[in-house]
Amino acid sequence: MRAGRPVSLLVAMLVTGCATAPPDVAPLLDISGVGCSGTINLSAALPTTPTVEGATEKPSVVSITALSPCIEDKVGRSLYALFALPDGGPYTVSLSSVPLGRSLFAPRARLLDAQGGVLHELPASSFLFRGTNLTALYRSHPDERYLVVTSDPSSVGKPLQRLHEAVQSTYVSTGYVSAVIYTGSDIATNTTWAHNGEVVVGLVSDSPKPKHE
Amino acid sequence: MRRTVQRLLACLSLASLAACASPPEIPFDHASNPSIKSIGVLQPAMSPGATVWLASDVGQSFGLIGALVDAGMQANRDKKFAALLAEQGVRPDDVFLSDIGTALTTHGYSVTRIPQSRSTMDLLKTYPSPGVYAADAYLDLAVVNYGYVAAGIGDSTPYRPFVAMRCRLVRASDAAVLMEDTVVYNPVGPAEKAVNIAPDPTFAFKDFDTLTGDPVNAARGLNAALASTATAVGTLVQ
Repeated sequence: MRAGRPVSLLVAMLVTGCATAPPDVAPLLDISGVGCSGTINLSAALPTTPTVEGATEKPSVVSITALSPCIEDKVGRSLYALFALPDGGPYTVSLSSVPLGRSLFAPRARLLDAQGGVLHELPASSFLFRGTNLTALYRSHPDERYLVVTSDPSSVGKPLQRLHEAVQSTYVSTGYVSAVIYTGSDIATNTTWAHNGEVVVGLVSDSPKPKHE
Repeated sequence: MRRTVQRLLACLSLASLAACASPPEIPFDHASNPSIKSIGVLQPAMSPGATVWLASDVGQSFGLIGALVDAGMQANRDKKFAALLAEQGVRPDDVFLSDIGTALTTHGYSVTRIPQSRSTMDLLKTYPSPGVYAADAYLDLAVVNYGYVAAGIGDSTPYRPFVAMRCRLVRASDAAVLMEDTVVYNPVGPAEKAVNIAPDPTFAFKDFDTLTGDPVNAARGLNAALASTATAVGTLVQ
């Protein structure tokens, strides 16, 4: 860089990741005014599409809002999304709750048979953060025909703080000299478990498992 | 110089683990494998020394020369931190193995430790023949890197503990893979498909001198990170 020359610093690139930031959605904490049913409406099930490992996934994405179906059972009132699982399998099922700014859908997941009977519930502990999404991975079984994801009233309203570290790279040029400057960030995100949010379900068909002999 | 380059490569491997695609995750299906009651934990692949990593600094902007200077500074940090752990009587590999045993026992498994020689910091390519050990499955663990990391220089990016590891559960009778995953405690940037564990805010040290100036909590923070990582492994085989 020479003194006296007009220096134009060009910030050409700020890399913070490949994904665009999700919208900031206010957490829905009170659904007392939403009309609820005592049973899951199986006719409202959304289709899911299995793919094979390595192929482009075709996930089913659902926004759960105050207009979504609601069920009231012994744990309270919950908004839900219902997914139909296709014949065949077994599949590796990925169920994710996507943070939307201040809110994160509080998921509770159960597998239902063809009549809507509960076969089993995924343990709450099976939801782990993978990337930025809260995700449960599990293997499907032949008798499981539906996956119902309800908001968990016992979690709704509770805060969640997570620390994230990241490195950003910034391309800087004076016209004569250029460099990539690296800087770090350490920030806390504060979200609230909510009845609303975005749920993503992906199915990957079973492929021959590797064996180690 | 060789050790410096090795440490540089270790940091790059951590960065790639956090930033790049990992092998497909295979969730454990307990319902389909009810006979798995005992797990033999193979001696993990794990460096005896922790890494104290500054994830971004001025040196990175100056190519290979800057990177080598950085690696030299990091080697110095690693050496001081190793001395700190030795003073505190902490052996991270022992701590982690104990934590893994606790995590598996919590989920109802009986656990045996199995000696295993390692030539790389990665999962194994072959497993013990059936019947060699009294275990229904083997747990293979590769702790790729661990220690402390600061995202950058300055008080706003303190040193926090980190762990990056891969794990695989194989059936002892036929070596079929029952579970495989990656767990990262305090990744720098989200590790997209790996299990991401956010760091405990209790353990934050504004700079390296602060870290080494509080050896008790520095060791405690690393132990907490190893314990959280082991707990996640337990969750993956529940």
